[in-house]
Amino acid sequence: MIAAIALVIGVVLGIVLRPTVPLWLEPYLPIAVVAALDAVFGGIRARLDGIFVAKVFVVSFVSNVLVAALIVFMGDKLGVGGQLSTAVVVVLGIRIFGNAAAIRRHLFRA
Amino acid sequence: MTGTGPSRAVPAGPAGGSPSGSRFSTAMLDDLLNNPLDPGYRLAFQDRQAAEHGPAGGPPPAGRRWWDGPLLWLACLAVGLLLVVAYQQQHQSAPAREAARKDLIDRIERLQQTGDSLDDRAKVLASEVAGLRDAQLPGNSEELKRLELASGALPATGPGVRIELDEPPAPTPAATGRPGTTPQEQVAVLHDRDIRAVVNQLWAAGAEAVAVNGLRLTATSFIRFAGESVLVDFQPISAPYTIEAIGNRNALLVAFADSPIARQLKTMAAVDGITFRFTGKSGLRLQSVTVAQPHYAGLGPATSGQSPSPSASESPR
Repeated sequence: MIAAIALVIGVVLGIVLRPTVPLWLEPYLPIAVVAALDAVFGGIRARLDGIFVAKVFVVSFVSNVLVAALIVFMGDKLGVGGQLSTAVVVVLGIRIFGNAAAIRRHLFRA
Repeated sequence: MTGTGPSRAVPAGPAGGSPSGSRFSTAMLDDLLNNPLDPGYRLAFQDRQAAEHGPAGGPPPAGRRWWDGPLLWLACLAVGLLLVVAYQQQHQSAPAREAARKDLIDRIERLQQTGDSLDDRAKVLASEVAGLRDAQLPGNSEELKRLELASGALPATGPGVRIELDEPPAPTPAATGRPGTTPQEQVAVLHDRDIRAVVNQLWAAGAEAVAVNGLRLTATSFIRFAGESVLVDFQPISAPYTIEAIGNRNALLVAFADSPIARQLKTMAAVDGITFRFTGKSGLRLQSVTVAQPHYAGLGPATSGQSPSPSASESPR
């Protein structure tokens, strides 16, 4: 519950404060969002499975975002550009789908 | 890490885990598809349970720490913030960029329109001046008309040739994989020097008036390259290029067809795929331009008996 409230507060903060993102950070944002979503869905599923541990959620969120940013950075430096981040999006996308399916089974028993 | 319980060695729970160790090739994909949950959750949970049900007198329950709540709270805050910031970045910076671009395009178009209307007005005024001058100097009018025609101040009509050049068709994105990945040399083959060579060849073959994409060339005209576009008298033009010349049609055609630049363009048409056509035309009409008035050049004393030669404005540039 506090998680949902904190999420809403974060959204409101973002809308109210309108933080400006420095230009060098801009390319990392979309992939960081996908990584964060993966952590969130994993956390919700773990919660429904009854095995949620806050520390794992926090660590997986932070490390997901950092690794995603690192991969984008490496892709830029290696010259493969978008391809490496495509790999990240595919892997995280599959995980998000899998977790979403598990959440769906929990909620609707279907 | 929350202590090292004995359950650490236990493999991931019954629901997860790779089905069998034998299928190495697809083990990773299977794991990814069947077990999307971070294995850390199960391990940490088992650790915690082991600690809670452990023997009394052992280490205090390590499962819950006081910072778990605030940490979770902060992480969720960060997730919400990240989502909103990313959304705003995508949907607010793009329109801003688009608006700036549109504004620039509008300004360019407006200034171009202003320039065009000023040009039209200059032409009207020039013809007015010419009419007044003709009324004042009835004797010399024929000679003046001839010079004005040669210099480009009067529109010219007559037979001539039209040469059409175009860049090769852009390859379809399907052929190259992604749009915009075609090297510039493959889609922009024609340069200022090709057009300049054609124009010079036409002057040399006896053309009396030449225009490139409707822009009449004068004695002080130039054709050069800036960035990716060809400039004719500071006006950018783009493919397809149409070069029209008025003169003796047959002589122009023969001389041009036999010139090195025509051969080179034919080769480029075969190799690079540019469009290259030249045809004789019976009724070409070339616009006039506002000819720059000389500010510094003056008439020198006539050395021999002849009058100051008008041929300078007719000769090849």
